[in-house]
Amino acid sequence: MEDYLKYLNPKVLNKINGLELKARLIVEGYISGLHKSPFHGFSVEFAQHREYVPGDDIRYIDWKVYGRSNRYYIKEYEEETSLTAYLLLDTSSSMQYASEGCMSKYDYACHIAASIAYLVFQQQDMVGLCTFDNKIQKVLPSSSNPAYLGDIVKTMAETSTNEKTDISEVLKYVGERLKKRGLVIIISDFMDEADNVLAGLRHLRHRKHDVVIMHVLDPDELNFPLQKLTQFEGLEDINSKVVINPRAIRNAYLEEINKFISNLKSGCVANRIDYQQITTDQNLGVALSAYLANRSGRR
Amino acid sequence: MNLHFIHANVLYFAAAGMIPIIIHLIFRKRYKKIQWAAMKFLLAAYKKNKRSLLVENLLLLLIRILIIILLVLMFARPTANESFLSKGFTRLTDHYIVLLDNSFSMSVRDGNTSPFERAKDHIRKIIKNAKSGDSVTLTTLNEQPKVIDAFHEVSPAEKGTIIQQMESIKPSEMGTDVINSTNVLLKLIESPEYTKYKNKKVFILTDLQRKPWTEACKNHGFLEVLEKIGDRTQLTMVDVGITSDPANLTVQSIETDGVIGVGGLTRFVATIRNNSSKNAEGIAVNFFVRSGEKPITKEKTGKQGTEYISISAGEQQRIPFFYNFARMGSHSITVDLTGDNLIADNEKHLIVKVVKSIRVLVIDGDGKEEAFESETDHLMAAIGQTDDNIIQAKAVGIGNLSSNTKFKDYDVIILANLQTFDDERRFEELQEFVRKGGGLFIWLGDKVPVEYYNTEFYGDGLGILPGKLDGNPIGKASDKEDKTTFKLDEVKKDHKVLKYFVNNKDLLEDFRNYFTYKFFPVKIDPDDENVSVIAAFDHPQKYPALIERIYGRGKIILSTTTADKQWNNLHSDRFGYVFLIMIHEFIQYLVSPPVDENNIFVGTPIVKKFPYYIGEDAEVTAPQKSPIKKGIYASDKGGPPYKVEYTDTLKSGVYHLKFNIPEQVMKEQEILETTELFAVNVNPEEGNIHRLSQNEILAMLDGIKISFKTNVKEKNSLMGPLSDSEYWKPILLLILLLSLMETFMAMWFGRYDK
Repeated sequence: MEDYLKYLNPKVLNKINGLELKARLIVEGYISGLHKSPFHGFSVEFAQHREYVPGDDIRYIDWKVYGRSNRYYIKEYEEETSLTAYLLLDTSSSMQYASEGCMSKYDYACHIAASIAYLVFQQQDMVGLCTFDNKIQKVLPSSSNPAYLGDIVKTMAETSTNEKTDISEVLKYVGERLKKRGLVIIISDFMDEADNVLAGLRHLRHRKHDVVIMHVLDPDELNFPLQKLTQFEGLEDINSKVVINPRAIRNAYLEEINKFISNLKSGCVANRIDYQQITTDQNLGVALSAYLANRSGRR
Repeated sequence: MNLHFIHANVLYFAAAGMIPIIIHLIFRKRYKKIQWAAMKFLLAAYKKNKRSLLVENLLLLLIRILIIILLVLMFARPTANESFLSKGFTRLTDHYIVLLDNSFSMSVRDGNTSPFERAKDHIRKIIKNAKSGDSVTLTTLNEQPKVIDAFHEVSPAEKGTIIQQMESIKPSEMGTDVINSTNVLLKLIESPEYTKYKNKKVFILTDLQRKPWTEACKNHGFLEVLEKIGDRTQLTMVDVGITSDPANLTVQSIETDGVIGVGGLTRFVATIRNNSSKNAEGIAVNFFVRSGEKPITKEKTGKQGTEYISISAGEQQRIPFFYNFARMGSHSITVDLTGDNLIADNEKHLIVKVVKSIRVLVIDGDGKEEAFESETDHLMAAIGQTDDNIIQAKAVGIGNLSSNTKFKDYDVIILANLQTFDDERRFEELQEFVRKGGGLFIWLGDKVPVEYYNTEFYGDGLGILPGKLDGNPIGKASDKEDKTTFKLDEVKKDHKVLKYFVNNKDLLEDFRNYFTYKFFPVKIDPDDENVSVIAAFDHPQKYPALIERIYGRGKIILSTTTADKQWNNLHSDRFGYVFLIMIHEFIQYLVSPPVDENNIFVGTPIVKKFPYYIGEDAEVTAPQKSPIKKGIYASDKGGPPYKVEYTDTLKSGVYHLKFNIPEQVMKEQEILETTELFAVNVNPEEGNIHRLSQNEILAMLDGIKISFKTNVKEKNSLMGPLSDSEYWKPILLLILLLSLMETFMAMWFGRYDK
């Protein structure tokens, strides 16, 4: 138990407490009285009147008040909605990689997943978990019970990483299985073809899900600082081996990986998907806070 | 191609060229393993760059191998005489001509070194820096310039030889002859062998001694020669001259008053000059006299005395020495100084011949019974008649000239107002007497028949008379009242016979001022080099009063007036002493050889000629050397003169010649002495070490393409293998270039890009 509770690092979670995680899209409210139907606009609860100022949308002018006072007032609502967050965690072999002094990408991904789950539970929303490699490994249905966080964490801890990545198929499958629109957070190193990844993401978007991808990378993978002659063995394919002087290949490698990231980013932007790259040497709290603040600002 | 390696053994290290391959293979096996997630990107990059990586690796490997092999090559020091390397890697070859001043002034001690040593240091540097294919020519600058080593092609192996040749050049005891030396230089540059070279560099290494360089620069021909050299070469003058103020005193000369006789006290005067800018004090001047019977040994024997003197800077001092010769024959007189900074001019030698007496036959052409009425009475009185007089004269009237009286028994014959000889053969005898070295003094007078003298004595310039009598005498005799007086107007002061007069101003003045009332007008052939006017009258025609003619080995002096008082006042109270001295000086001059062949300068060959056979060879002993035989050769015609010649007189000192004369010849020729001494001296002018400044010489050489270097002080004693080689520099350059290329390529390929 203690082992998997490590993902709920209080230091980490404290840093993101107080921030609101809100869906960009209006989803169908699950908790009645708190959330308005997306079919009725974006507000769910009347909050106050305020005087109209030029620039306000005239659709929100309270005409009844105008009829009585001959003054223009705007009706303001508190926007609250019920959210279902689906955490999709990559458990493929490539997530095992950890450079010196850093945690593995998988461990880091688990921290992210746990933190977000905790946050969602804090605002009484629902969280579900799905681990995958080249297929769906385990699925925890969504729940709003904060005690459910323990199950999520336990599942992440018990999951082993030993297969290849095949995101495209996984995302299509997930897209088919999720009946309600919600927030899909994919935490992965996306060691797959960019086109495949984007095809899966498009499928989710097609199902009206708000998609966030957390691209977890080791700093070594981004900077390739290796110096000495090295035999590289593929984590996802042990038969793939090559002896290279890293200094000689560095530029070409960086060109390849940056090209992939660039393709992925541009695909996300095109599909209105949040892309967040996080490296395992980054402070997790800072990284998540920054992301959530950014996302809140874009609301 | 003639490729050599000075350190061929080093070439074994070329195997070290395998080191980069071995390192590559070792490190190829030594790698760390890593499990990598982003393998697909790595493989994609590797696939794209696999070929270029291979090429880059091979290229770097090759460069590294090449660097090691070139390093080995460089340390092996390759050399090649004619090769693609010399054409490809080296610049145009240089051809150095070095003109080294080795006159004795170059050996003056200047601090811890000397101009000569500085010059040699500079030449060593030139040779050291010369590259294979260059050539070096070494010549000397002195009175006998010589090419020591011509067009010696430089190679590392030959550099030592060239330096040895250079080291063989020693400071000479000769003077500086800038003009002759630069002529030799020009000939060298104009020689067909030299014209094929293009890049010519001429170095003149000299102490810039003031006198010879100034005199040369005043010579238009010299400037033209130097201009030609400057136009055709890169001419550099290297000033290696004195930088301090070294002390130098020079024995300028040793003089004696005349012919030296046995028994009398002879005075010698040594002139010492202080050639430095500092006063000299307490200088010991030694005086030596040695007989000529045996060669002079190393030890200085025969010391007669020492004088201690002080001479101000730039001044000279005459120091008298006296000596009483006890025996006849050749003697050497030596004067030397205590050491100063220039040794060569501290010693001077003089060879003198001591005679028992000078035998003079006075033939009186106008004898009288009464005292002092004869033509020669005053003359005989002036010569003196005592037994201890060095001049032993005998007067005889022409009518009393016995057939037993032979001219050859005398040293000087004086003819006074002679009309003619009774015996025609006397003319031939007189000619032979003079030709063999006798002295003849002719006085004219009223008995002299003009035509006869011109025919018999003058003989169209081939006879013994120095000039042709040009008509009857001019003027009137002293007993006439309306006589005109003539004085001596033009006196040839530098004539040896007037030396004593010139040194005594009053005497010279009186010599100019005695009156001549009557004289014979005499015309001389101005083109005849053997005839010279000693003094001329103040007549508008400038008729000569005293004329000298060199005839064979003898001399004739003609006085165009009388020996008695008829035509002049030389016997008056006022001017009698002038006549006395004149007679003595002239007689002594007449017995001295026309050319002082026994006192010569360094480099002048010793030549001795004899009118008779004196044996097959002579033994020559040069100073501090063993005796050597020299042949005595007949003339081209097979007869006299017989000549012995010795040319190796580059060292100053007393040279000793011993003849093996057959006894019969000794008797026939009445030869008493079988040895001959020669004094070979340095030119005292070379002892004047004052020098020209750079500005002065450049001003004098204005318009001539010449660069100037001054006082090079490098001191490299390089003998044997030299430190540079032909191709190590280009190889080093190549290694540096390759190293730079390797670094650049490695960075370019990302090896060092962190």
